[in-house]
Amino acid sequence: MNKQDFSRRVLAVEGRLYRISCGMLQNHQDRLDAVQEAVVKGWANVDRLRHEQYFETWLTRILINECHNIQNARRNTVPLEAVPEQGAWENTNKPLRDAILALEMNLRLPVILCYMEGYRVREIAQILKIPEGTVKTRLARAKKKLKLLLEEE
Amino acid sequence: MSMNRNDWQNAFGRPDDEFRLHLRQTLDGLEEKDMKKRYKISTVLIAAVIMVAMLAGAGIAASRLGVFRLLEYADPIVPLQGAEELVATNLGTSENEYAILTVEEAVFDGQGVLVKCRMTPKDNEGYVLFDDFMQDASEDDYIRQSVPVKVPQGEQTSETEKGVQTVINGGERVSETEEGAQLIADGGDVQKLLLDGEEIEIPSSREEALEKGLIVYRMDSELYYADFEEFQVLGRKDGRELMGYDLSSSVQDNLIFMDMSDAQGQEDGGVIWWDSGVADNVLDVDEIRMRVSAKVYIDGEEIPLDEISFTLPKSEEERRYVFTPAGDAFGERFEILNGSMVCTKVRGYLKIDYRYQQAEAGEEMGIDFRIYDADGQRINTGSGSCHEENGVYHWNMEMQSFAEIPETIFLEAKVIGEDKTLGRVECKLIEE
Repeated sequence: MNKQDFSRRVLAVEGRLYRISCGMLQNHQDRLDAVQEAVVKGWANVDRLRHEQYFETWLTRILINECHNIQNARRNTVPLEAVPEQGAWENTNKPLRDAILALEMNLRLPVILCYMEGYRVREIAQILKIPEGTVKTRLARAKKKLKLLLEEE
Repeated sequence: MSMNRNDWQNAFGRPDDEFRLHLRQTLDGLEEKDMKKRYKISTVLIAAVIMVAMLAGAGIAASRLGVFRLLEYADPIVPLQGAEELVATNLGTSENEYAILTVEEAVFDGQGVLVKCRMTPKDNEGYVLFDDFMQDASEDDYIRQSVPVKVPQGEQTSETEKGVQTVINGGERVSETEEGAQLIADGGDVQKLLLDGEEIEIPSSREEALEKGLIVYRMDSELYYADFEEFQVLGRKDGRELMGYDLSSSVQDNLIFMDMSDAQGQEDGGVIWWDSGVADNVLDVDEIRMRVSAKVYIDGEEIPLDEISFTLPKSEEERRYVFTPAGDAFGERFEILNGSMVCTKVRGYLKIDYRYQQAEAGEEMGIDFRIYDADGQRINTGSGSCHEENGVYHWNMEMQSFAEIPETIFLEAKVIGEDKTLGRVECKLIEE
């Protein structure tokens, strides 16, 4: 895959990268860092991608790993260096966003990948490196919680 | 909840201009070989005080069968009798001043590998290993709640319904660098909130800020975002501190990509962690070399443990079979081309090549296969993948192994997400 193809494919999933980073990282600068690192690592390793049709799933997984790394690095460390996201989130569904962000991370990610991004359970299992049965369980629990959270609104 | 994908996506909306610009700048910079050095990566202090010791295999016997745990999810795959005798144990130990990691069990059967590790805090009365990415945090044991997010130092401007709000927190200089605009905090204690350029009083509570439509409030001399909170696992109810961790395993030369893991917290504050990977085909090797790496996080510091390396011999000779349709290879809009099955004592590996024509409406997620024996008993399948190449789909799946290989299996094509069967094809198995 040449740089042009790579860039085209990355830009085709720009929204997905954005939403996943929003779901995992509260800090705008962290999101920019995570997506940047994911793209850089993706480009550095794109020759190792055996099947190009897995590109989206593969890049999604790299991004999640980067977000996860940043979360771990941020744990117990404040303050964060950031710019606020309120402006960027105008005209969005705040109750839904709040409810999603109120989920534990291990429930939140399957929800984002499944309902927001349309991944199959099997693909989510591969992206998150968890068993398919666990994905199903977490989706069911997450949906139940979301329902309760949204009813509270 | 009846929402379509657009409704869901509207939780976060579309990428903002800064995100879009940043992504394009990143892509533009990819040609430069040393570009990675140009980018700022979120930093953490890394303290590397590492000590290596080899410990005897305490506790191994009690968890001997645990390495097969990842086969037990979804439709459980049960290893055949004798599989546990193939498991290599006590493959290495590493420690730093905070935790001990042991690779307790692993097995490589020629195509797949399973690994089980245990990591335990040295001070298990003071710490509990926890990673919210991998583990559940039960309300019985963990303190979980939304927590306010501090406003970082610097100047920030947001367009809101109320007007343009500018927050100045401890510094107000903005510098243009090669990497773009950077917020520079000057370390001062200035805290201001401007609404359309006019300084206004900073609310003293979140409620007040929300009521007034303002983006920040001040509490104990710190500024916090008003409409933005973070859900966190704050700690343990028993008072033990949380120690973050990362664990990963890999196979040398990327012969197998480790693609599934799970972790479970233990009463002693440790975790048991499992990893699994499956190659596309049986590997032509007698052994594989594996590495397990780990790090813990204490007070924001990342503290690695020494990597554990070990060699796993191939545990047994696999049995290989190919299958072809016994009669009609077709169902409704699909055709079985060929397939193969590999059986070990640990698990089976199934490959099906097929053609498929999606329905004019629906079937967005394609089809999946269920496997049955000649008696109509379903044969469990586990995790796997499917990809399309030149109109042919390649379906790879781990499955229940057989002690005695059946002469015939039935492949039933099911539409994913719908209660719809496209047909059933009988296949004859032939040993390779």
